Amino acid sequence: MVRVDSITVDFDGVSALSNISTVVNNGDFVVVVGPSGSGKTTLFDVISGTVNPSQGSIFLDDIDITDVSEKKRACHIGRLFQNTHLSSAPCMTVAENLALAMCKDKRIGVHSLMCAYKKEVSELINNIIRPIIPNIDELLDCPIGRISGGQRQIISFVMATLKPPRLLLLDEPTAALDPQSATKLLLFAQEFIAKKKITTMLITHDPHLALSIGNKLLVLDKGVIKSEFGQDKRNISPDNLIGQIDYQAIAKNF
Amino acid sequence: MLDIIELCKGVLELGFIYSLVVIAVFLTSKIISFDDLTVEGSFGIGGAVAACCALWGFNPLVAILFSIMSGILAGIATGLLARKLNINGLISGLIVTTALFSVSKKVAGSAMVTIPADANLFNCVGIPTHLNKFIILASVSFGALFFVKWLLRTEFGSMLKALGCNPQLLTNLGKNINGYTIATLSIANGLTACAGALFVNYTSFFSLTGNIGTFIYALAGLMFAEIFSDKLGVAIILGAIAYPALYMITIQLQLDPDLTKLIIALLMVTMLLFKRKSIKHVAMR
Repeated sequence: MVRVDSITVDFDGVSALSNISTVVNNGDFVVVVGPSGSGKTTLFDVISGTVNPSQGSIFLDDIDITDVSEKKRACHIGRLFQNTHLSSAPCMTVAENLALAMCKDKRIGVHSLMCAYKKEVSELINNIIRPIIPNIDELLDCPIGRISGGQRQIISFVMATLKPPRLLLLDEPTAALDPQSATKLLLFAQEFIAKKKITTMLITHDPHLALSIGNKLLVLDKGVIKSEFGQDKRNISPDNLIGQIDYQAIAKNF
Repeated sequence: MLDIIELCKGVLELGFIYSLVVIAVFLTSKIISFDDLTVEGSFGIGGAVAACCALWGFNPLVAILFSIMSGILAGIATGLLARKLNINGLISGLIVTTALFSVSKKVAGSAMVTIPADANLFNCVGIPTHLNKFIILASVSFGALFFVKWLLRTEFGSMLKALGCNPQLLTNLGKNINGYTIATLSIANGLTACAGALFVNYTSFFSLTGNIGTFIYALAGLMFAEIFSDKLGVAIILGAIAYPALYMITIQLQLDPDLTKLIIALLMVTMLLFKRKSIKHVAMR
């Protein structure tokens, strides 16, 4: 369970989050929506430890992690970024990236990384990646920065969930992808998350997607939680949600 | 003819010494994307420690070990400045290099020190004198190359490569970015200090200003190496040899000594243009 308790974040006097409180129970799939600048990514930054809050506390399974470093939190919190290059090492091959992700909680010492994890990488490819990327064998020796964004994001997702995290943060993972790749990634991620019962938070700008997946919806605006829906989110229509997000007010500012 | 062979041997030997610095710059600039100017200072401190140990009558091998340790400390100092005090990496290297200038003079005791013949590394090994320099330097150079090649294949090395292209990934994996950066800087500067110590033994002379231009030499060596190959391999050693080879060419052509640096610069431009042309040629095929 993740508890965000009265979190406030100020950047040089500009408030990014104001007194935000919410609870994400184990197994929840929370979708976070809101216009640009509403504080969605800042909320994820605070939970993952990239940004320190000015006030408030973060609890993971009732343990206060507010002062725990980002590095230590990463052992329990997985994160997938909008920028597909941030979740992997673009200059290293697909196989090397997968082997790197296996080092998260293990040590192989002086042995060659690729030799140590040859069997595990091969199992991972056969069991999880090949059904979604059939030509994975051709890509294994390519630098991950050179394969398509969709394929890169799927592999990054596998890397982030290799050891199922206690909380998975998906920060607009489909924003940089074409619709076909985005659907492929989301279907794969949804199935995987449900199977492993991973507590997940997802940021999206797509109202249809926000209403179609997850069991909880959080609408952020100007750094505060404007509304929060549980199972009753089924009663909201996409147009209704767009009204909630108040995109028009944002558009007027441009 | 004998003179030419001797000259070529000298060029190769100098190249072997500087190949350690090129490997060090490869590790910092290419692998972890940290342009470390400390190499300039750690080359000097390595030489100063070797000179000091020689004057104190230490075994030359022990002297080399002390030199390597001094380089490691210099690397740690730069790493701490850059990562713990958040000072820009280039500035951190400059600060440590500036400090090492004074430290080197204090350690060596004077701006110029001659190494006693009986304390010279190359006189203490049981190999015929006319060969020992070449064999020892080639062994150290290839030894360092294979060590770094092996290192980069390990989990540690893979983390370094990841650190160079996306530090965020290391954080995501719960790894300590600062620790990996400081470790790399210490290895690189340890290698550079070893080169400094070998250089002092090779010339039997320590000069406080002998380290000036080391970083530029290493960068030039790295660029030359890329003409042969982008990967870490024998190309690194060839790149390190190319620079003294250019010197030799200018000497053999009996050109005006005042114009040496200008001619080397022109030759470097020619080689780099050749590289660009050959890349285009490969791309068009």
